[in-house]
Order: sequence, then C-alpha cells, then structure tokens
Amino acid sequence: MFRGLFGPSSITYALRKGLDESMRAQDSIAQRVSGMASSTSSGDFADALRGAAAPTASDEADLQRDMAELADTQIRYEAESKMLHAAYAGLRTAVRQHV
Amino acid sequence: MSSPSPIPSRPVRELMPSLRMSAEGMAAQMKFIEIISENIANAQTTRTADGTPYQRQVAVTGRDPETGEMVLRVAADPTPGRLVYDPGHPDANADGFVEYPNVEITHELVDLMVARRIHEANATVFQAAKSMLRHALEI
Repeated sequence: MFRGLFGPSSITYALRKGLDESMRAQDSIAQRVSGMASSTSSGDFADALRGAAAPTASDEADLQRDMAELADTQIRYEAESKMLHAAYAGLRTAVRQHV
Repeated sequence: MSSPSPIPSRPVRELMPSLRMSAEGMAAQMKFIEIISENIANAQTTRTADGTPYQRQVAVTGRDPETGEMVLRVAADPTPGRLVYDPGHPDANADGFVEYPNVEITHELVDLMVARRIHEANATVFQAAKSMLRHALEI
C-alpha cells in the first residue's frame, strides 16, 4: 500500500523528482552566471591573462537566456512544491480520517 | 602576476550549492569593482613608491580545477602609458615628457558597468534560490 502512495508510480515520487530536477537546473544557472565576466577588462592583455588562468565557461554565457531559464525554473519549482504540499495534505487528511 | 588567491566568502551551508556559487560570483564582482576603483583613483598618478607611473591592474577569476574553488588573480597591465610633453612637470624626463598611467577612464567605466550588471544578475539568482528554499520549507 505504501509503495503505491510513495513508490515510483506515485504522484509524490514524480513531484519529488521534478523538484530535484529544478534544483539541478538552478545550480547550473548559478554556476553559469557566477562564471560570467571572468575579468575586469576585455582588452588584449586581459584576454592573454584569462588564457593563462583556469578556463571558465564565460564565453558561452548568455545573460538573457539564463535569466529566462531562471524564471522558468522558479515557476516550475513553485508549482511542483505547491502540488507536493497538496498531495501530502491529502495523504495527511486520509491518515487522520482512518485513525 | 600575483599567485591565485581564493575569493573570500562567508561560509554558506550547502543547502543549495547555487547559493554558494552566486555568493562567490558576487564576491568576484565586488573585487573587480575594487580593482577598477583603484585604477580610476590612480589614473593621474605619475609617481608611485618605486618612482614609476602607476600601472593599470587587471583581475581575472577562474575555478581551480582540483578544488573547484573560485580563485582571483591580479596582474599589472604592461601596456606603456601615454607620454605628454610638459617640461615643467616634476616627473618630466630629460626630453620634457611625462609618462602617465596606462589607465583609460572610459574603458574603466565600461568595465565598471559590466561588473555592476553581473553582480545584479548573481544577486537575482541568489534571491531565486532563496525563494525556492522557502517554498521547499513550506511543503
């Protein structure tokens, strides 16, 4: 019975996975944004210096895309957390009614 | 070039790695702003402690491949400064030219704007992570 309520085929399991996925998306956005503009300058000397330093993903950074993805992740996370809250509230009510 | 030094940041408990990464990103941009302000403050310094004109500083960040920690390097830009003919200047050379620092105020201001915007972006991501954490606590 409990497997049906919390197991891989349950709604709570799918929502928990969704929350984990959104959290990973958030971490990857944070990593990209924190690696943006890895130098105080964009001149030739800074480019050479940046080449000597540890490589970063700054060249692949796109602030607008990241901010759009951030908004999307936030809304998904909020929806998933609300649905999970409702699912647990339903389970809680069912448990209380039958005890 | 100075040896890479870890960006100082307050320890943030790893509830969400994105909080730590955004905090590091903000700390890096604050350091950039410090370097830029130092460059602007010394844009007219024709004599430093060693008798030479001020040299523009450039900061670069990267992640340590072993620890994954964000590190900051600061180096002096070796580009020669501009020469201005001013024989009455106390730092003029034998030909009457004064070497000014290789700091371009317009470049520094553009770099300052970029640093400010990236700092804002990191702060936005931090706020988003915080809000997600709050929603998680309400489940």
